[in-house]
Parts: sequence; structure tokens; C-alpha cells
Amino acid sequence: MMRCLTLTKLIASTAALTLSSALLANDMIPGKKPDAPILITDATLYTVSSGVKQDHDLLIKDGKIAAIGQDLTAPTNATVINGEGKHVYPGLIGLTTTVGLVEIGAVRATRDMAETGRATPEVKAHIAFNADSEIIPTIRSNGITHVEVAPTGSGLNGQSSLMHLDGWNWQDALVKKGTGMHLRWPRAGINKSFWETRTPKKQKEDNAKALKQLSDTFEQIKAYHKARSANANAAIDVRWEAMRPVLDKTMPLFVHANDYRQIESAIHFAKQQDIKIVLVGVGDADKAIELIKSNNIPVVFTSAWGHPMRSDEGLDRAYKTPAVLEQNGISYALAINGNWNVRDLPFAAGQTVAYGVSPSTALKSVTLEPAKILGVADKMGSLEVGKQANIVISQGDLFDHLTHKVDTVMIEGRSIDLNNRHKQLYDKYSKKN
Amino acid sequence: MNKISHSAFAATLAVMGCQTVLADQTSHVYGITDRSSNKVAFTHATVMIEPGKSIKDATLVIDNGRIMSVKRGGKAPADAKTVDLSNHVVYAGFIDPFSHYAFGKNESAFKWGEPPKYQGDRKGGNAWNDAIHAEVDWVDEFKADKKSAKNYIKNGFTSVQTAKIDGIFQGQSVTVSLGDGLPNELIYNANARHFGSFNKGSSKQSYPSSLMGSIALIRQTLSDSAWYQNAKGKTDHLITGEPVEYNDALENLNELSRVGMMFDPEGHLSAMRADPLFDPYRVDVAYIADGHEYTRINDIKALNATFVVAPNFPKKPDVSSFEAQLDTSLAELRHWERAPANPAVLAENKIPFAFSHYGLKNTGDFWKQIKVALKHGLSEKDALAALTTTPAKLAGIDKDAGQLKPGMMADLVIADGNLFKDGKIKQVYLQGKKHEMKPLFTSALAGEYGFNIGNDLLTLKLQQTEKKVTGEIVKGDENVKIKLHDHSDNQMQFSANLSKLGIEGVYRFSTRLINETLTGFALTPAAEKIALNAPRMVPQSNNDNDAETKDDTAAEFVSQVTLPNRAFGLTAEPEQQNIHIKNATIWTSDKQGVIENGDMLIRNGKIDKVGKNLSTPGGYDVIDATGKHVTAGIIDEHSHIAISKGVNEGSDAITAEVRIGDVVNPNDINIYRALAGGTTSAQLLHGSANPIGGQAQVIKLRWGSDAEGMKFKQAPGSIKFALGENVKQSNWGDKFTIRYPQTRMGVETIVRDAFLRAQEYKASFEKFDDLSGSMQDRTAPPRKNFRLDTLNEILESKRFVHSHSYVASEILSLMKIAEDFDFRIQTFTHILEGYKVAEEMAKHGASASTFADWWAYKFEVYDAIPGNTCLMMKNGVNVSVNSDSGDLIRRLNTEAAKSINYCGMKPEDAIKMVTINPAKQLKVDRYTGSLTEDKHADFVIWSGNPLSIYTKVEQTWIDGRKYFDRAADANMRVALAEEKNKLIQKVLGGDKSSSNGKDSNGKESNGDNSKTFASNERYLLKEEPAWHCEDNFDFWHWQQTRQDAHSHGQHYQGAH
Repeated sequence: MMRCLTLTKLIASTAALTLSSALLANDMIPGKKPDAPILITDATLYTVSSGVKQDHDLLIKDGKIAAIGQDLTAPTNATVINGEGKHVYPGLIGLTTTVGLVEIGAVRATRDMAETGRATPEVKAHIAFNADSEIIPTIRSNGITHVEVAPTGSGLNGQSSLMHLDGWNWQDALVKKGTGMHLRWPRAGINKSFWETRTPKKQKEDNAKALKQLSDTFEQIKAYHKARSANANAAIDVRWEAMRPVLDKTMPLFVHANDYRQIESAIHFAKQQDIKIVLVGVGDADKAIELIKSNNIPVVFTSAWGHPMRSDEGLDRAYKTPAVLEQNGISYALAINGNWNVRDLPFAAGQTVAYGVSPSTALKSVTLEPAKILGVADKMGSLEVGKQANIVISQGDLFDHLTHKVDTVMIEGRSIDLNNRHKQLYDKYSKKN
Repeated sequence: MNKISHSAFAATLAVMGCQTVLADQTSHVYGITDRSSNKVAFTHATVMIEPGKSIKDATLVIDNGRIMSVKRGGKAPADAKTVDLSNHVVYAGFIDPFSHYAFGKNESAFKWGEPPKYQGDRKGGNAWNDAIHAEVDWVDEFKADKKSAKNYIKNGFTSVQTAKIDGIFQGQSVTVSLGDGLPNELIYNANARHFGSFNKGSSKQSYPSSLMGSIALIRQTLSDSAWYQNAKGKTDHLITGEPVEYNDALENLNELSRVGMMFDPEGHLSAMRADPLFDPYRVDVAYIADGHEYTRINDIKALNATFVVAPNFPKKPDVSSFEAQLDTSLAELRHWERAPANPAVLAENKIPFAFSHYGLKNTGDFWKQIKVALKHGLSEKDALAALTTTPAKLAGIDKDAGQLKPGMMADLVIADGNLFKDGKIKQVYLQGKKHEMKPLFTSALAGEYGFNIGNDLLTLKLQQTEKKVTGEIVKGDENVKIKLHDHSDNQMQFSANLSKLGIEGVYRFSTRLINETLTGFALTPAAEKIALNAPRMVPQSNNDNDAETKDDTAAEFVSQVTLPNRAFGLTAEPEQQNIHIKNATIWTSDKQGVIENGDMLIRNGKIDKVGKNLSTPGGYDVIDATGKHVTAGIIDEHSHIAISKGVNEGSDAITAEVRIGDVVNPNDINIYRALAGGTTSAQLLHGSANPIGGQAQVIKLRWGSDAEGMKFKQAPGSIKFALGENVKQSNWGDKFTIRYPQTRMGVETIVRDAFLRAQEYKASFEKFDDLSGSMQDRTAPPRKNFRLDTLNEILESKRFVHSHSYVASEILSLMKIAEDFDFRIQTFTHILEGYKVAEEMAKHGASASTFADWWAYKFEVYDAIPGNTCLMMKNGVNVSVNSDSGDLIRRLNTEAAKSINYCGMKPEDAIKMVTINPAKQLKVDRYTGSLTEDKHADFVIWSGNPLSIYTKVEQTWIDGRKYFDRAADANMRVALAEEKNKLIQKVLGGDKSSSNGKDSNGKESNGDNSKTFASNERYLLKEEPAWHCEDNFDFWHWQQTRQDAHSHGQHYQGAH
């Protein structure tokens, strides 16, 4: 095997960059497009699409994976990364996050994730995405290269977009807009928790009312769609205009729902309206196996560390639900709804393994499955020739705190500065005494 | 205060009784003086003179509102009006010992969004806190309320102990007759019990805003009352230079030990919380039950108190479909099945109780529900006692009411049979005055009468029910039915075709019962009158239905009762075992480090030996732990699980008097879930709403025990302080801008000021002690102040400070205060900028308990870093990671592991961050926190490396008892699912053992009361939320304004 030990190690240059930015106390600077190919050698490749390959090389050219194999020849000028003993993964993808939409939870001025009103399909999350958020570098340094940013709130919240985590601004970071329309499904069932003050009867009435409102809204949208399709000059309503791709099935509706009854009514609603949906949350997925399976609904499970939803349920019910899905042949993506805590995504996947998910499915749930749900599986989500070189190299198993140690992260072959606010402050105060 | 003394009053009552139905004593008489007789003799009655004791065919004579005599057989006095009560039962009038009759309940004046109110409204000699109304003597406000009385009387109640139900000390109640008339004549006991609760009711004052705040207020107030007795009228210029204020509320409370208290704790767990408050003052407290007493009956029994029970049983939970069932917990189903047996369980355990209307939305179901209770095992005797003798004692009128004995009030309930079976209330006498609901049914005509027509001897057999008379005329073997035309009590007209008896034609009879003879005439077919004199040969038979018979359809249960009574509750405390754990990787968190292939011996709840290749002593169980890891039990420095009704007393900047230990909630499922994550001990902290918060409570997670049993007895006292955004109310909304402090400057100052006050206070006691005996007699002693006492405990290093803190500046300030007052901050909790001042902390001697990686949720945590742990540790600070949540307390092991990947901590140090380090912070490291010989056997068996994400807890042990076992948990789930299915079948009526038949309308009934279900909070099972530091809201105001909950939803979204 050919070794170009004389060539500068990418690692070393990354370290240098780290040092300089710490000294300048500056923002991390987005990575530069490399001039030369990059070859990772003798590593364990977690390809997702074709298993785990020990002692393999991976060649990156023009931001894409150019070759995977053993004993690949390094092209001239290539930067070689010695991957011996290292674990190489495709970049992790975080679904339905608010990364970049909120900086400090309690400070209203920094919150841009929920527009006022119960139906705001017209708003697009990427518009508010702050590429300079201090949170972003803390997430990508754990191996997450992409996040879907999505509006929150109640009702019909707006449109999500896929961003990469190393942009100069939102336009630069935007990978795909309109990845989905987000809807918080109306409550179902009787809430008996401490803070619910309505009577069961009133709750039932309110639940029914909310469902009726939702279907009324859709009737209105459909009528608009029909009018617009018939007459291109019809006046534009920005709200309903935004919903037309949903009706055309070119944009999925992400239905955030946890309770079985929500899941059940959402699936039937989708059938009736003839739209594509993705279920998000899905705490009761294990109670709705047949429904989900027979209707082929994509699932984004968000409660890796969830509490049991009901007091009688086993304490590990949420932990085990992904395994139940896997056992029943339902593919799912795993996500963490949130912002700063999205960096826990690899550990969330690891947690599902502790409770029965196979390591390959766990890996897939944070890489290829999210890519599929976002409609970008042809570009990312696995280590495959032709796909973007979104690469994570860890010294050990990425999914366990004991071994997780990320050396290198690349987005389309660009090496990412793994420094962040936390490391900077750590370095600063390491020097205090 | 000019009330009649108790004994004087009794005499007055006796005299008054004689005058009751006449004019009252003090008014002028207008018009003609009423001298009509009011002597009544009830004859042939079954008289229940007391529970379990009756006289049949008795004559009961009343006169002037009193019972004159009760005798078997007996004769009506010549001058008495006679009422024939054949077939009727007479009971003593029922007494409701907890009522707001004539006064009403609190009307909440509070509206969400109002600014806080820190000062009480003072007037007269009232108390400082608006929730205290102890100065009110409700007798002064009393007058009859005919409309409300009707609801009571229809169920047989004749008197109530009543007050306005509002606030914490609600004032002194009065026991009154439910009759109508001059108040002066209706008052049975002007010195009845005080009423109280933990609920501040209509008070708009912010303090107290939590259960523990209410408890603290009661503790202080009772102490103040005792002090006031000693201090009033004395000079105290020697001590404080201020005169003792006039305080009527404190004065009035001094009589508590004499008159007792009716206390509504709003939950059986809170009854146990109330009892220790009143005990030191020897107050006899009766508690209002919540219907769940059976779930912790031994604890309830230990209170040695009387309970007041509203017969209000839960409606069937909705399990009609898969969907509906999702919202119904096993706990609800169990309670549905068992609640009707609660009165029976109280009775079996010899816990006296009285029935009450209190809490019933629909009093029309009262008797229906009582019968449900009987069906579930309550005896008639106990039921009657609960309506008469027991409440009579509670209301202080047992000499005058509750039984049917000469001299007692003529308060009677007359029923047409056994009330606990089919009998219905017909009439109620209040102070000898009749209140008629339905005319008495005497079945006066029933019997057999002999007469003849011509030479034919005939027998008229009459049966009589309430609605009709039926009968037949019999001759030999033949009989014909009579056709009734009209009848009243003692006369009837009927006809009969006698042809079948050999007497041709239809005869018409007009008769009247005179002296046991049916007298009148018969009209022959030829319209001739034949005289009729038919003596009654066989008298009516008394329906002998007062004997107690065992209901053969008595309820059978399919549910378990566990501790706590919910899914995953235990039937018994886990046994203490002597065990030998073999071949484990043992993380000792001690000098022995990590022992590969190690052994550990557990004996009598303690760690006996830790090492290698130990031999198994006789009688030890062996656990082969090959491939497994063992650590000390995980300890959480900062938790808010297992806390009832509010985690913050955020109504004041300093609330050192409140105690989390007063409100430990042993029913919280988070305890069990935390055990499953390996946690064995936790410090339950007050929230972070104020600079000096409440006292903390360290617990061991002994799932299944009661609140007291949870407490880590050896743990020294600790207290929560808080700094920064929360205490300066940064995120509380625009209304909260007036409380001092609003800045970090103010936080520092108010804490300093508090300690100065504490020193001053302590000095005042020393000054008093220095006075001569005679001077002490003349001088008002200083008033005990629980808040300042607590602060002095801190100054004396008997109580240790755990301070919520984030930024470097405030950390330094607090350490400076402590140093100036010569004590040390024990632990800074959260301490996300600890890494910036780690060296200073180490020098001060403070330890740190932090989040593994939380940040960015508010401004003061924007500089938080996950390497905080390592940097502090490097500087010699004792560091732990904590949960502050019901989620992270289940996985503190992997929280600790984050320091391995974020800052390269050694695995052994990471484990110490959740074992021995927090043990030191809680000052329990002598007992737990490491696997060291002689420490408590608190440990965890893990499936693998405890720091790995892939590892699970297999067993969790506390004191050598196995509190969690993953395999047993799996089995338990199967059993619970079976139990739940059985209960669901029972609800659906598919199970034969379902004895809960149908009610009169053909509807399924288990004493269901759909009208009361949704609206009666106290009978619903509501889960306490998982509290957070910032969950600062007014629990009591919340409870009162339950209908506009949406507007304050944000109050629950706390973080840290």
C-alpha cells in the first residue's frame, strides 16, 4: 500500500486553524474547497448502504466520493489521511431542528422559530437561519453535518429546509428548501395531567373542533388550488399558495403527532386528502405498527430518551420503540427536536442499540433515512461513490461517549473547523492558572 | 371575644331547649302568647337509640324540642299527640361535622395576570397573612339558610358544624340546627371547632404559594399563638423596643387545644403532613378524607384521628374502546373498584369517621352512595355511627344529639323501613318541629278481618303498600279479589263479586277502621245496607328488616392495592438480603479503584467486604456477576422529583422556613424510573425563585415506603440558595418588577441583610436569657421565627447551602458573604461558569454540581461549556453532575460519561462524579457513595461498563434490599397488564365477579356519579408534574382558577 507520509496531514492543518481562531477569539471560518483530492486510508468505513468495510480507503474528489476500495492509489497532490484504527461515517443529518433559529431560549429577541397564528404555511425556516449561531459549531463537532430547520408552534407552522452546518450565511448554507410543510396535529384524547383544567367533556369537544378546523382549512386550500390551477391570473394568497406543493404531493406534510389517535387520524386524513405525509414524534408508533406499515408512512422518531407516555407503561418503552419498528420492518429516522441538544444525536442512536436496535439500523436512522425523508438520498446519507463527501472521522465508535472522538468533519470535501465556543472558553480558562 | 364559656353554654342550651318551640327568651311577645302543646308520642316504632342498638315497638315521646322518653311498648301520655309509626324506623338526626352551611365557600378573587401582592390587608386585630381568619367567630355571622338546609334535611341531616370554608385558618365554626327560626335558638355549640386547610383560598396575598409554604405558615402561626399568650400585656422594650401588637387571630387560636380543629388537607398524604404541625399543641384534629385512605391505611391509622368522608365514588373510567383506554391508568381503574370500600376499610381499622356532604356536587345521590359503601363491606352500625355519634363528637354536641335518649334534642329521622336497605326518609324532626317530605305510610289497614254476610263466614285479607291496598275475600278454599275504589289511612271503599263464594252479585263496602274493627256497611246487589263489624283477627306484621344481613352480592375485588397504589407499586418492602456478588468489575469509587473479577459481600444492609476471591459465608445468596459491572448507587445532588404541590415558595425573596421535607411525595413514579437508572439517593431541592429558598431533603429512593421512610435520616440539613436571572425575576413577565431584588447587586445585599437579621434575632434571645427571673416574668419574650432560626443554623454550620448559580460574578459574591459571616458554601449547583472561578471555589472549599452539557437556554448560561467538570476538577473542586429533571435522573451515568468525550476525564473520575462526589456534597459520604466496607449497601449491577451508552442497569439495591430488578420488572409488566384487563372487563361488565349491578334506571352502577366526576378535583387522580427549578407559580391560585388555565400555560415551562 502506498503511503505519502511526507504530505501534510489534514489533521495537522485543522489543529493549526483551531489554535489561530482561539487566539483571535473569532468565529470559525467556513472551510475552503480543497484544491487536491483527499484519500482516507485503512479505515473502518461505515458505508450505511453496503455495510461496514474494514481496512478500506476512501477517495474524495471535487467534493464527492470518487472511490471506495482497498489499497487505492493516491492521486498526485492528494492529501492523505491515515485512517488506521479510525471510524469513518457519512455526516449525520438532524431532522426537524431549530438550529440557527434560536440562539438563547429565554431571550425573546433571539427566538425566530414560531410565527404568530395557527396557519402560517407561507413562512420558510431558512430565511431566519443564523449561519453564525454559536450553537452550530458545537453541533457539527459531534459529527452532524446537516440539519433540517423547521418552524415550530401550534397548527400549521411553515416550511422546513435542509442546511449544511458550515455556511457563510443562509444562502450559502441552504442545501434544499421546502423539504416539508410542518403541522402540529390537533390533540387527541383526554389529558389528565396536572395542569389540564378542562373537563374531559370539554377536552373532547375542543379536540373535535380542532380537527374540524383543520379539515375546513384544507377545503379552503383545495378550493384555492383549484382556482389557481384553472386561472393563473387569480389573486395570490401567500398562505395557500405555499400549500400547493403539498396538494401536488411535491412537498410532504410533516405531521408532528405522538398519540395513537393522532397518528391514526393523520394517516387517514392524508389518504383522504391524497397528500404525502411524514410522521414526526410518533411516541405511539409501536401501537400503530400495522397502520404505519400498510400505508408506508415515513417515521421520524424523536423520543430516544422519552419518558413513558402513560403511567402504566414500562419505564423503557420509548427507549425500545425504535427496536419494535425495526423488528416490524419499518424504517425510521431518529431525530432530536431542539437546537443546542442536537449534538446528542449520535448518542441517541447509540441508546437505541442498547435497547435492541441493530447497529446498522441505528446508523441508518441518523444518516440515510433522514436523507431519504428529505429527498436527498441521491446526494448524501451514505458513503457511496458519487455522493457528496460529507464525512465524519472518529477515533472510536461515534455513538458511545466512551469512544466518541471526532477528528475530522467534511462537508462536500471541505474540512470543517472543529473548534467552537466551548473549546475556546475551555482553552481560555485552561490558561487561568 | 365576649363569648359564653363552654360549660355555661351547655346550661344555656338546656334551658333554651325548653323554649325552642315557644317564643324566645329575650324578645317582647307580640299578640297572643302561644301556649299550644307540642308533646308528641311516636308509637309502635323501631327506634335506633344508638348505632347497633334498637328498640322495637317502642314509644318515643318528645316535648318542647327534647326527647322525654323512649320505651319498649309503652303508652302514649294522655296529653300527647300520637303518631303511629308501625313499620317505621326512627333514627337520631344526622350531623354533618364539616359544612359551610349559611356561610358559603371562598369565592376566588384572584385573576391570572394580576401583579403580586406581598402585604396583607390589616384590620382590627387580624393576622398578617390574608389566608388567616382565625379571629372570626362564625357564630356571630350565623343565621338560618332555609334553602341550603333543605338539601341537608332531605338526606336526614338535622345539624351541622359550619363555618365559611376559606383560607388556612378559617375561624371558629358553630354547630347549629338546620331548622328555621331565630339564630339564637338554633345554635347548639357556639364554641365548635376551628376549621382549616392548606389552601389559602380567596387570599390574594402571594405568600404562601405552595403546600410547603402553607405548612410553614401554620407552623409559625401556631408558635406565634403560644408566644402571644405569654407575651401579651407584658413589656418588651427590653428586647426589641416595640410593644406586643394586639392580635385577635393569635388570641383565638389559643383555644385550639380545647375545641379542636376540622382540617381539610386536600389529600390523604397531606393529612400526614398536617398532623405533626398540630401535635405539639395537643390539638385534636379531624381530617377531611380524599377517598384514597385505604391505599395507606396503616399511616392513616397511626394519625389516631377522626376522618370526614363524603360518599363520592369515582365514575367508571372510560375503557369503551382501545382509543378511550389509552387515557385510563391502572391506578384509576383500581381506585374505581376500591374507592367504594374506603369507608369499610376505615371501619375495619377502627378509624372513626363521619359522613358529610362536603365535596358532593350532587347531594341527591348521598344515600345511593352510602348503600354502595355498604355493599362494599361497611356495616350498618358503622354507617349509622358515621351519621350520628361520630359527627356529634366532632361537632361538640354528643351530649345533646346523635342518639335517641331522654334529654337529647328531638332531632329525628323517620323512615319507612331500614334506611340502609329499602327504607326511605319520610319525615325529619328538627328540634321537635316536623319537616315532612312524604306522608307517613302506616299500612294501617293491613290485616285479616272476619265478618259474615248472612250465614257465610268470610275473611277479608288486606295487604297494603305505600301506593295501594290490595285484598281478597276468602271463604274456605275459595277467594275473590276486591276492587278498591278509595282509601285513606283508616277508611276504605271497595267492591267484590262474591259469586264465586256462593254469594250472588257484586257487593260494595264502605268501611272505617275504628278500634281495630272495620266498621261500616256493605251494599248488597239489591242496594240494601248490611251493617259490618269486622274485627281484625290477625294484625299487620312488622316488616322485620332491621336485622343486619350479609349482602350475598358483596363486592369482590380483582385489583391489587400496592404501595404506592399504581402500576409498579410494591406489595411489600423488599427484603434485606445477605449476598455475595462474584466476578464483577467493581468500581469502588474508593481507594481500591476498579477491581476486575471482584467480589463483594453484603450483610445486614451494609457492605461487608470488597475484594477478590472472597468465600461465600453460610446463608448468603450468590449473584454470579461475570461480565457485569458494579458501582455504588448513583446520587443526584439536584432533583425535584417526589415533591407535592409546588417546588418553589417564590412569593418572597427569603423563605428559609419552608421545607421540602414537609412535602415529599412517595407516590411519584419518577422514583421508580430513577431506580431503574441506578439512582439510590437524591437531594430534593427547593426551586430557584428566590435568593434564600427552602430547606432541602435528602432521600433514598425507597420505592414503596411512605414519605418519612424515604428520608435519608443521617443526612444533615441543607438549604437551597439561588442567584441570577431566576431570583431577580428576569423571565417572570412585566408584572414582576417590584420585589427586591431585581439585580445581582440586590441579590447580594438581601442575602447579607438576612444574615444580619438572623444575628440580631439570636442576640435578642441571649438578651432575654440574661434577664433576672422576675424581669423575665414581666418581659415579653422574643418571638420564635422559623425563618431566622434556619438562617442561624447556616451561620452555625449546622445546615449547608446548595446554591443555584451560573455566572462567575455571583459565585464570587456569595462566597464573600459566607466568608464574611464565617461559614462556607457547601455546593454551588448548576454552576455553569464554575470553570471561570474554579480556583477561588477550591480555596473557599465549595464543591460543584453541574449539568454535563446543558447550555444556551438562557443568557446566563451562554458561557456554559461541557468541559466545566474537568476544569473545576483540575483545580481541586469536588465535582458532580446532577439531573434537575425526571429524565436525566434515569441516566446520570451517561451524563457523567460526557466528560470523557468532551474533556477527556478519566472513567473512574466520571463514575465518582455521580457516586462519592455527590455523597460528599450531601455530607452522607460516611454512609454511601462508594463500595467501602461498612457503608450502606447502596449499589448497582450493570450489564456492562456503566459509562457506556450500550449498558443497562440490571439491579439497584438500597440498604441491602433490591429495589429494582430488570427481570422482575418485566414480569411485573405482565401481571399488571393482566390485572388491568381484568379491571377493564369488570368495568365493561363482561366479568361475572362484577357485582356492581345496575341502578334503578337500568344503568350500570358502581355508585357512579357522572355529575360529580369531572368537577370534583379531589377525587381525580392527577399526576404531579415533574418539577423544575423555575416552576414558580402560585399553586393555590392555580387551583382556584382552573378554568382559565390556557392563559398561564407558560408558567409550567420552566427550565433550570
